Amino acid sequence: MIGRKGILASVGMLLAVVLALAFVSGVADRSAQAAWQPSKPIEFVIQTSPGGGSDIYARFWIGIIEKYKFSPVPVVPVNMPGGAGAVSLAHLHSKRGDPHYISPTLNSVITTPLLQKIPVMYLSEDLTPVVKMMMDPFILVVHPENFKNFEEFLAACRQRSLTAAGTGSKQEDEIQIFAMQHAFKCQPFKYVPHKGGGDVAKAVAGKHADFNVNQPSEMLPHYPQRLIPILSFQKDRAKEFPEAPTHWEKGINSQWAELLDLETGLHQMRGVIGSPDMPKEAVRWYEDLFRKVWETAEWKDFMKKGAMKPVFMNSEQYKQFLIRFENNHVKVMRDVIGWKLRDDLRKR
Amino acid sequence: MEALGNLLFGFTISLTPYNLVVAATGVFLGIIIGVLPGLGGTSGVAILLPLTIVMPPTSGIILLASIYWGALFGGAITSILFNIPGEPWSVATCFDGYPMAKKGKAGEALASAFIPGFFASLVAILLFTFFAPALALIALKFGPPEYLAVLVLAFSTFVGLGGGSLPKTMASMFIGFLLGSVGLDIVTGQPRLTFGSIELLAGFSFITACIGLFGLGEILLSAEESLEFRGVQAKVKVNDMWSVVKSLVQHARTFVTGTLLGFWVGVMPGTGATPASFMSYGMAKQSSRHPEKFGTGVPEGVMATESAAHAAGIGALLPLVTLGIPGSPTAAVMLAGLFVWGFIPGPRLFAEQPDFVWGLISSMYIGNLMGLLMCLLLLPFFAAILRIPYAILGPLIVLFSAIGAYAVKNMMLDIWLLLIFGVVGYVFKKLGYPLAPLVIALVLGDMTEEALRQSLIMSDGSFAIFFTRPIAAGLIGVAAVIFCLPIVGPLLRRVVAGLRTAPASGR
Repeated sequence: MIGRKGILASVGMLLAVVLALAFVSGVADRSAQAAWQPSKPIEFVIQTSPGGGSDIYARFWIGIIEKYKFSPVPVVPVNMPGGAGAVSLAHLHSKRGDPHYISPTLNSVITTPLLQKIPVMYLSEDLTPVVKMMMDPFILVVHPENFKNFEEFLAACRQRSLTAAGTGSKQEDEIQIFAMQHAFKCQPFKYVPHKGGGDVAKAVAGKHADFNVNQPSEMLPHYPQRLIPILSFQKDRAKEFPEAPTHWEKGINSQWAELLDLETGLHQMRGVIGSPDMPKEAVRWYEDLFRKVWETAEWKDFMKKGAMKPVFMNSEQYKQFLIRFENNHVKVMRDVIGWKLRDDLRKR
Repeated sequence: MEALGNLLFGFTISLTPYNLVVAATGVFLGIIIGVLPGLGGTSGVAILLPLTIVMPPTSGIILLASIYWGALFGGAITSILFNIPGEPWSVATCFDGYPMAKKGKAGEALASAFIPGFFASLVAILLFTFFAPALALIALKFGPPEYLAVLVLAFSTFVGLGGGSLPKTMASMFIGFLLGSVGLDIVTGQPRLTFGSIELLAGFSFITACIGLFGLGEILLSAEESLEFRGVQAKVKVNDMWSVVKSLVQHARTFVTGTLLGFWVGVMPGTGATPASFMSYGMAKQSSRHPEKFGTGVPEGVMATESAAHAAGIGALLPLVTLGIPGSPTAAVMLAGLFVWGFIPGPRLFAEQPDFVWGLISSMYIGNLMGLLMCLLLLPFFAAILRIPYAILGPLIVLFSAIGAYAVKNMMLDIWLLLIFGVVGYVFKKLGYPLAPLVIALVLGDMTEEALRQSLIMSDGSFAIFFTRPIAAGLIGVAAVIFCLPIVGPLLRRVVAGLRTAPASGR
């Protein structure tokens, strides 16, 4: 039997070991300032439940990092779903100065902080932009038995109120659809929110809605029997779907054209963001890590199959992109659609 | 029989030694993950997903699917032994499984979960093998109004599920609805009942509530009553298993209804095994000749929920493979796997990657058989857990419950909520309020509200949409009949009896 003294002694030993380890790692931290290295596992904070859009990307990148041993420490996925990203953003914000916390980005991390009072308001200022990994274009998708091409769709939308399906409320799908309504001069759309991209595709494939604007990868399982792209919102036609014309070709050249476009508008983007005030050296390290991921055959193949636009941006480029992106969102959400943004919104 | 040839071809892939080892590993891990409360099949599959990137895709999907089958088996174990649902879909297994264990029939209760569960899986896999593409097209016909109709049908089967007084049942249900509405509203994007808290934007998680209400509540009760556990005598006899197989024939209707219902609810994307298990339990109770015995420890109760849950688990993979839409949260993680391996789900997957599709389908047979065998072999061990003194077991259960609650969202708040729900569960039991309506309202209330509001947006606010679409109208009709049955049934019986006696007296 171990007596009370024995337990006390072993607890004391344990404490001593922990303190010694803490001291050693502290020393290591200071000496590593020249070229930063992570000193503990990196936490990849994910906004969705396992299986959600962001989760797929984060786990895919982690898989590549592990396969090629790009990181000396494990990268651990931690799901903190809820509040359209609010919970995970608040968590990331609370880790100020600790560079071991990163998060995948998607559009709701731009829209949610503009609507809900959380510690983060603008990603570009309140967190540390790390890298942008790709752009996911929006395409206008319909059931081929309902509309054969964009002209038929346009004629119908000017005549009656069409039903749109989209992901979530007050997020990128609804914004794009609202912008379309004005650009095409349609009757007001009826917007039916769904939980995820797969459900949205199903709503149109099952003829429960007239159209959606979706990422190509979400349309693919039903293409071309039940879903076809009839319009692509970018400068040039997508190589994967040459049959879909662009909105520029169709003469949408008004003030709306830029906002609808992939490069200048509010399209889905995937990247990585870090805790606030991340040291420059740590940012360099992550840039390097994700550039390696970006250059693997797996990631290039994934982007190609999903008809995504392969864009890589480093921290500074991503920050500049985000500033414009956020300003566009404020402009469209508040000034054009008329949604009420958070009342303490900082002016820019 | 083109499918049969394909299936045989699939077996040539899934029966290779490597894939057999992969499947056995997956099933075993799944059982452990299923046993741990909170750490569900979804997290288990998610944790191992990055690992599969270095495996051949077919082995990868076999591993992930096998974890799912294992978790389906394992989820029942803690429900029965400790009244703690290991998985959301095994909540209803607590209702009768735990009372059985308390009576010293833990072995029989576990067998009543495993054996019908396996046979339900088998039926579901056969349906999957031969009718997958056709069933997927039917699933597409289900839009928001049809979902609402199915959910209304689910609620109609819960009439009288609480067993207690009607006002108490209603109160419990309304608390469930209230808790379910906390968080960010998906239709308007507005926060509801969060009182400015960021953590509450995420809403209450169903699994935290269940572990607290059922598990902790029960521990508090037994701590008060006595530290003894009547499951001590739990022994497993071969007879138990044989009697379960016999009762499968005896309660064939419950088994078949549960299996088919579970399978179909699983195939409908976005619902998953949880509502199916509740619906099946409700239906079994309503159609039973002795509904009053449900909740006191009848094997049919366990059989009903487990057959539905297992069939739903299989069904959930159908829309995933055929349409790229996950039928359950666990299937959603597997969809991530498909993308990672560079596959596009849908009809083309069957044509372009036959070895992957048929390797997966054939591995379902193998994985579920492995799950059954492992569980039956481990059964004496599970039952023996109850022999551990409660003074040790109780704190361990609390510890694992806390880990489980934390694991759902990685938030400290969930541990506090767990404790609060534990106290609520204790108070409810003391005051005689039924817990089942609360959890059912919590898990289905959200889905029902969403389907209702989506439908009304589609129809510009007109309720006619539920009666002009044939599938929705039909299901709502059935729901209305089931809803009225408890009232009309006795009345009808009296009329029939009256008719029978009338001519007799006239003679």
